[in-house]
Amino acid sequence: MHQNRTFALTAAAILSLAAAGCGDGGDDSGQDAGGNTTLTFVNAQDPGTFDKVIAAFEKANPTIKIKQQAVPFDDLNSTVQSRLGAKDADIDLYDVDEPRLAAFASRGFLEPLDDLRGQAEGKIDPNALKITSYDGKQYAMPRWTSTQLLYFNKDLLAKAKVAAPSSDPAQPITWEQVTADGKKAQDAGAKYGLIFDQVDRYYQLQPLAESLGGGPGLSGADLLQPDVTNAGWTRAFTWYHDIFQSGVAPRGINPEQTPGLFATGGTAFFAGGPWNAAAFDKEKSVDYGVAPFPRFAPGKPATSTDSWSTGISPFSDSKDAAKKFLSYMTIDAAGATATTSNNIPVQKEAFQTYLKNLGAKGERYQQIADIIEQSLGATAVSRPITTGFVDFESVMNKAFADIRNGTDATTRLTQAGQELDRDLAKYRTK
Amino acid sequence: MVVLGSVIAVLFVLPLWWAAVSALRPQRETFATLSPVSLWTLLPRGLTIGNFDRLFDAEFGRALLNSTVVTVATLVIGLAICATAAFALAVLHFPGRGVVFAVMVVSFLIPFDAIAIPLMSIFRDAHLENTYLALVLPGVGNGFAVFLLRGFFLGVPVDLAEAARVEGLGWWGVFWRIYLPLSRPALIGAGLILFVFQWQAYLWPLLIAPDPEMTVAPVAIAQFAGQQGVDFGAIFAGAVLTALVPLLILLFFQRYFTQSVSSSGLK
Repeated sequence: MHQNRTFALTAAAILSLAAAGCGDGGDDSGQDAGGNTTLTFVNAQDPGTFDKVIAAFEKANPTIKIKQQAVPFDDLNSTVQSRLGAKDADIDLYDVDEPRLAAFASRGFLEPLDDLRGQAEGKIDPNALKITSYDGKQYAMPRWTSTQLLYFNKDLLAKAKVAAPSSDPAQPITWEQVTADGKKAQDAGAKYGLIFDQVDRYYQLQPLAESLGGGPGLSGADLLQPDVTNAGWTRAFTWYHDIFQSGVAPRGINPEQTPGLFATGGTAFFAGGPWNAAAFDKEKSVDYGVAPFPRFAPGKPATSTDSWSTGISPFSDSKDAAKKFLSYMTIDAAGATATTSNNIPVQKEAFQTYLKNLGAKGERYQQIADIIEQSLGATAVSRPITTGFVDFESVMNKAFADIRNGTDATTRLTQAGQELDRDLAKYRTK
Repeated sequence: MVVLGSVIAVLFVLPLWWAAVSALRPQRETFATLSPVSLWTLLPRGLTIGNFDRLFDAEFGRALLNSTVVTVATLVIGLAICATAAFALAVLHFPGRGVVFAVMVVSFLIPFDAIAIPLMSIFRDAHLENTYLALVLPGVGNGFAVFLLRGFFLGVPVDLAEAARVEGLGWWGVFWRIYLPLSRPALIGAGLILFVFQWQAYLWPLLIAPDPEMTVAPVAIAQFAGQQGVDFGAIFAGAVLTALVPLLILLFFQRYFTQSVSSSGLK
């Protein structure tokens, strides 16, 4: 049902591209008779995420109102693409998944924001500004970033007489050690040794290959040449295959179910994001510790990063008002702080406030804050900025799922490379 | 045979039972009892209405009301349109009748998703976005419902219509006083088709009515699956409530529905 829905939306989005154009439909005249402007902001965040920032902005700008349209998370990209393909002037601002920015910008679905970039320099993390740029132009304003860490169940490790991994941000445990310790924990009664939060998703698995020097999986000037069969990729995904084959990690579990399996106390290690901590605390049934995201023994530390940014539709009738709100939400320290939920802000002052507030919640959260600071500064690897990212991610996620289900990693990566070679050809000619 | 049938029937019911039970227990318990499967997978240890609380805190009640309004309007308007079209195609003789019927049959073979985007552009040009009318309109002209009703109308003896005409009854009277009363099972069957189309509509409401005030139940349920977590408890609760309505309707009307499908197309 869910897949059918996603397929239908994707098909609809593709159809809409035929009708897509790059024309500018906006003349900034989107005011009502009383001189008031209502901006529509399409996003897929949890309810309440933007309530504070919107209230503060509306108070300071009484003639501008912000109306939110919440779209189910899995359908955001395809819905926005379908509506903008039909030049829907009803959307003023929308959330952009950062690795998809290049595809949206190249199709003319994002208004260039170079004037806002000038204001943002020095206030927003330069890496975040870089990954929201394409072809030399700023196309969205970054709001948050992300990282990954390793959670472990203290009771299960103690029962297996396994030493807990260090929480020192500079001393990540190795994946080889995690596998061995996870197996010992299973022998001592744990149901599962290791679970990835976003199993089979490129976002979380990219650092495995990066840790072994395999790169992001794409090479060339426009990052449109597949490079998923090198030694780093092969070794990383042979390990991924083996943890499921040996039963250390469970098959048949969807990403939506994975946090619940750690929260119920039967899993020794869980690789996830800082946001998972709040959910684990809520369940109160697991005593857990935190450690930096592991690396491979012969490799270097690498962690996932990036998150959501916000862009302006080129078909909006109220671009100036939209820029005003976007500037407040992302560049202004007060706005960026008010926007934050469980995510990590990229506005520099808001980031420091976030770390301070996190650390104030207790020792474990201070450790999480330290890991966040270290990983974002030293080990973060962005997803490749390329027009072919959506195709690339789709092919790779299917390959990861097959490898998890028992297909030989070398064979499957070779097949994925051949698929990518065909699929990415259409972008190379443009 | 009876035992085998009963076992198969129970196997069909088990996933629905599990969903209903999961709506009434804490999310943690749903996951904790998943593996290994035991009696506790199917029986709740601690009952809670917390899932329903969160569901209605997110204004699911309004979404359910929107779905109800849209579906009822589609049923009433759609049945009127489909039945009159079917009557014309079955009883009235006019040039091009066969072509019109063929086009109608082809129309219901085209997936709605394939026409959703151009249709959205037309509706937006007419400023119908975020209105009940926009949600109702695509559901009222259902080719399959016309096909079904036409088949049933063809089974009504022509002599009845001719006798009525001789007695001075107009075509409208023939339709209203003879064909409709005789076609109750087919009307219920066609009504169920219209009902299911609207009740489970997802793509179209997402595109044409994205305002929070216009959200329909399937979209509201999907919004509980976020980036950083999925509220399975609320999703189960919403799914159970949303499924209850068609379940009750189907149970009540299943006899007519089966009859309508089996008898349409027979002369």
